Amino acid sequence: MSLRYRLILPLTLLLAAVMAYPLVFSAWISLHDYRLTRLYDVRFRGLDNYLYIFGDAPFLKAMTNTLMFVAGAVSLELVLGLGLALLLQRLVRFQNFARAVLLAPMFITPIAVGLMFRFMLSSELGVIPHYLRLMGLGVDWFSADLALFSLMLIDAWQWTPFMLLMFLAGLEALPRSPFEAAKVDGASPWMTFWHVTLPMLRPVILVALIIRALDAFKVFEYVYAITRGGPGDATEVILFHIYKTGFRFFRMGEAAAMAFILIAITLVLVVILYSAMQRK
Amino acid sequence: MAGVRLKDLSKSFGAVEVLKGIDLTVEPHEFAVLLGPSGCGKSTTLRMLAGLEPATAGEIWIGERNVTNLEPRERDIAMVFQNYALYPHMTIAQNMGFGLKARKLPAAEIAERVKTAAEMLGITDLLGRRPRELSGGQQQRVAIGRAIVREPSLFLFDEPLSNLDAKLRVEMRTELLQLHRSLDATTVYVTHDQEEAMTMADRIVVMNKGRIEQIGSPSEIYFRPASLMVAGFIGSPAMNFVDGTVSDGKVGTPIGAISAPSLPGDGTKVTIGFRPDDFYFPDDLPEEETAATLSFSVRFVELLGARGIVTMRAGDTDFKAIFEERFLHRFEEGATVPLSLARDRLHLFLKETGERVAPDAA
Ligand SMILES: Nc1ncnc2c1ncn2[C@@H]1O[C@H](COP(=O)(O)OP(=O)(O)OP(=O)(O)O)[C@@H](O)[C@H]1O
Ligand SMILES: [Mg+2]
Repeated sequence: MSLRYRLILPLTLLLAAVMAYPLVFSAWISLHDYRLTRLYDVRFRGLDNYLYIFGDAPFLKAMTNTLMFVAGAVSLELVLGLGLALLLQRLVRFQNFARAVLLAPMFITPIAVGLMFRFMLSSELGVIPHYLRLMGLGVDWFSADLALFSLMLIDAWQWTPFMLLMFLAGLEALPRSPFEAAKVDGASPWMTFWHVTLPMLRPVILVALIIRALDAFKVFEYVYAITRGGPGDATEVILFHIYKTGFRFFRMGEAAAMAFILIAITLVLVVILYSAMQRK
Repeated sequence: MAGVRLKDLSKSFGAVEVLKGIDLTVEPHEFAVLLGPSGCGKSTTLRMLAGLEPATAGEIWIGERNVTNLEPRERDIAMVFQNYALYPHMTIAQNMGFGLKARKLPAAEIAERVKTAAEMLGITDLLGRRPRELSGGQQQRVAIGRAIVREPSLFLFDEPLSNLDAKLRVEMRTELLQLHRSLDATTVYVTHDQEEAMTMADRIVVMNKGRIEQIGSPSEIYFRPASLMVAGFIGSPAMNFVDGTVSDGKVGTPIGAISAPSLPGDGTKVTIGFRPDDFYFPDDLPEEETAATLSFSVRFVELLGARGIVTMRAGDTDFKAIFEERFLHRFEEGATVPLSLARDRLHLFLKETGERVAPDAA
């Protein structure tokens, strides 16, 4: 064996052990009736796990919840992030300070954010419902109707800063001259935003959207820390559903199959992301 | 069409004073060129005219309106930027029509005007493309097209030809001039290329270090430069200079005494300037027209074609002279050649202030 192969051998072995083996093993599990409670009786089921999942109401509900969460949270973050970025860019004083403060939520671990909001929004103990009650508004943030929306708000609180960061960088990288041309051309601020800023920022927006969407698909911590998928199945998102199937009900075969479906969806997004970045 | 008036216009960026009191009137229909070395404030002046930079002090009038505090879109101007400043994501047609769209013209009329302008500029077949698919010269035309569809009362150009190759530049110069004639709009045009200024301008405004040095027609600027700076800046190769002191109706210089008309008083320190084409062979110039006959030792000759530039030395200064090719054999390297200067071709400046003293400014 030549030297170069010997040099990469340790890394190859390491990667095989920590990446390839689990991946192949879980693919194998996803094709079997693999229950942690019945390890003496593992049977091959072919694609039955996959077929079963697609007809399984709880899975489809979890998928719907997740898609709604992704769409809601990410569009909220997009609008807020872009708005804040445009305002911040114009800020003359305290700009660095404002940036630092606005970016802070991003650096908190999500499980802590989940716990924090669980208390702040709790209908019995929370400060926010308390003050809303003083204003005559009784809102139960974690009721069946509102819980998923509340989770979107929490996600937006934590991840809008990411969008803000991307858009600020994007805005600063834009050439100044088209904006001066727009001024001379007599465009109103609104027209300049729609016809100059937004189209020129498009590649950045696309990339930010996809990165956030990928991340939002994996939402787990808020659900785990706050609602545990409830009330009922109102906030049961896909990752939480997989977790429950695998580690509560010990049905590893199905859980693995779901995980692979999630990977497939993610991969599609990644492919779009790459082609979007290439086009830029 | 509107004229332009700048009244005591000043501009500072922080503590740096970039424009120091600019007074300028541009008549309606005039093609005025701002000319000056890099960093003298030409672009700043133009950008203030456009409303892209606020004035620190002074007033800007376009036509009968004081526009000093108006937004660009209220000034009825069109500007061609040095770097074209096209909208990268729009097609050429959209680029050209954007200003009309901002003025809420009906789409049919926009299309019509864009088409007319495109035909005029010969870019009709480019209308569907995007700026990055165009060459520099084509983008240039688009930028000009975007300005002319607007039919503004004032055109502003910021070094629009500086990115083009020499041949295209000369072609575009002619096209721009024709355009100016046919549109008959008032134009303020910035360049640091003196040839461009000389060939295009009705009037040249020479700027230096944030001030106006001289305003005049191209021939006034060339034949009667108002200051040492203008004299040295205009003309290529540059004017020759020699310092001296006035005494007895002559100027005593290190290379010999030079007589000149209308001299200031004795003892005044002056700088005499004469252009490279203003050397004569002593026999060719009548006695009474001769300011001085001096000897020069030839250093080298550069042949340009029909003419050549002779670099020669007198005292410890180099002088450049231009002669037709058939005379160049007289300038062998190392030879000493007597040459005369004509009285009516001399320019006299006060050494201290650089101000022109003789012959008087026109
Ligand atoms: N935004 C700015 N902030 C600070 N200084 C500036 C700014 N814009 C221009 N200046 C300064 O103002 C002076 C004049 O600049 P300007 O761009 O008007 O020069 P110019 O005559 O157009 O030169 P060029 O021929 O190189 O384009 C320069 O010294 C420049 O450094
Ligand atoms: Mg400039």
